[in-house]
Amino acid sequence: MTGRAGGWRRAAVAVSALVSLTGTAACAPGTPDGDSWRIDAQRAVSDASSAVLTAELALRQNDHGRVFDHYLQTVLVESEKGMSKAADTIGSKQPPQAERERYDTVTGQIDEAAGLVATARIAVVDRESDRYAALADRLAAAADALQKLEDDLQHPPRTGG
Amino acid sequence: MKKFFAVALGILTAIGGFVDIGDLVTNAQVGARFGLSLGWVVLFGIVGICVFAEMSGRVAAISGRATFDIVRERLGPRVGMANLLASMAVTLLTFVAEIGGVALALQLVSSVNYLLIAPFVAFIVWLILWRARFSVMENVLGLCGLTLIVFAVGLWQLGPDWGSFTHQLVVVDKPGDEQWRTWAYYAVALFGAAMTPYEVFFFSSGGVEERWTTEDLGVMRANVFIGFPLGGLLSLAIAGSAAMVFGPIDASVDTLGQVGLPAAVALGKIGLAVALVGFVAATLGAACECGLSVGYSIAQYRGWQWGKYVRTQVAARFHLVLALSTVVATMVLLTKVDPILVTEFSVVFSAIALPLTYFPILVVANDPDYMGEHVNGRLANVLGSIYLVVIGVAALVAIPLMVVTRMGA
Repeated sequence: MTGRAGGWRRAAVAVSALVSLTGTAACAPGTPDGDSWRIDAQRAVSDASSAVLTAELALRQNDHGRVFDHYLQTVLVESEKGMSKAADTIGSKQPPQAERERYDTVTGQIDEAAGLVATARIAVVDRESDRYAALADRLAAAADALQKLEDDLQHPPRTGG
Repeated sequence: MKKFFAVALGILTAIGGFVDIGDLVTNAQVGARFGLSLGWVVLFGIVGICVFAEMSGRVAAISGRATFDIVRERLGPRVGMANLLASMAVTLLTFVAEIGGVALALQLVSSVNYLLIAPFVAFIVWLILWRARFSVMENVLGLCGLTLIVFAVGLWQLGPDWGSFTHQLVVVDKPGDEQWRTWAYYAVALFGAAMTPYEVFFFSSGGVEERWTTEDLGVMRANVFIGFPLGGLLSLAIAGSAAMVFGPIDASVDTLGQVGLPAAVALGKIGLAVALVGFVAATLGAACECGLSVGYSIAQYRGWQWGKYVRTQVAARFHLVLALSTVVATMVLLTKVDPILVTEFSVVFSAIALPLTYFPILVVANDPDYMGEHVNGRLANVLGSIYLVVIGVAALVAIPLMVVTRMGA
């Protein structure tokens, strides 16, 4: 009886340890190698760039009277969600030591562009159509910067010296 | 004249009913990233769906029974169960995606969150499945789905380089910045989207609903061999429009709102409005077809009375399955799962389930006990066998490609 109880106790401890370990591992950010991180970063920047370009395209089409207000609003909301997803994707990945600087650049630029898309969405919901052209120009510049960053991420970081 | 009208109506509804949320999303995604360099997969998939839809339609017309009604009897309960589980799982997943697609399309019109719209859409779908006559449902939604022709008009208006498009279609190649494995993943997804199992399920059971006989074989073949390919051309038009608008700015397509933008760019608000009608009709029609297919598959396997051609009380268990599957699909959507992601999964898993769906059709269509003199000819068997090999390869590589490419990243 005692032996069986001891066996159950050991099993319970083992299961608890396993669950704790799994939980800890699940909570810790992933630590990919340099190449893997760069691929993830490229993907996030590319997704963010697509969302910004879509928001810009929709705003410009509205300027030409080609989309409905509700449609424009939905496209902007979807772009904002896309930005948030891109930011989460890369933000939750632990960058390798050599990529710390570019990690800051990537997350910084995505956050900045996300703020811009949110500003555009607010303007659209408030029907401030006189601001659309200027916002579209700013979105175009943000997309351009993101695309340059995406190109840069194709190569390993430049080492100093 | 009446027969001509019936043929024309059948072809038009086949064209309008061909495109669903999987075709809309996958073709736009692929068009934006790969241009028309994967267009040949769509064409290849259309020939495949025509081959097997003709077989299953013929089985329905000759035997008076839906193909899968016969599968269990002909191939035994094990194969029948494997067939049921595989095709029903994919059809249910597609059902979730289609209801989500209708809700997303209505969100584009109203800017009300799709999660609030989804339960109403599900209620409408259930109401149609319960009350609407089969022919009315098929014809009205199929004809409204024809409005997706706006993408073909829009593509023409956008003025593409047709020579370059043709070159992309006939030469197996990919854009320089894409990897072959990503190209292969999208090829499998497009193939799965073109050959979705529920389409054949619905087509064969629909033949029984409409009481096809040997005399209807001509009309059935006209629907399949004219309607389906023309419907497939709409898929190519969606891909071409996305290639024209999103390709040059190097943006990917991830939302239904983006799928509609080329219509707005080309034709303005009128084009966009027509496209939105097409989105709603295509996804609502496909949702009804998926819902019915779930009911058909379970009822036919269990040997219950099924179909909309009998009174509701007579096919109570069939209607209960329709109601329950609608509830399940809605519950899945209300977990806030992204309907576009569900769509992406459904087309890839569709490719995995294809062998279990299409192999039994080939067996039954070759059985003289059921088909008499109308068994498969040499051409149907050669094409069917070739497609089964391709389907098998697609099913084997689908999951590895999904993992390796991180779903086409």
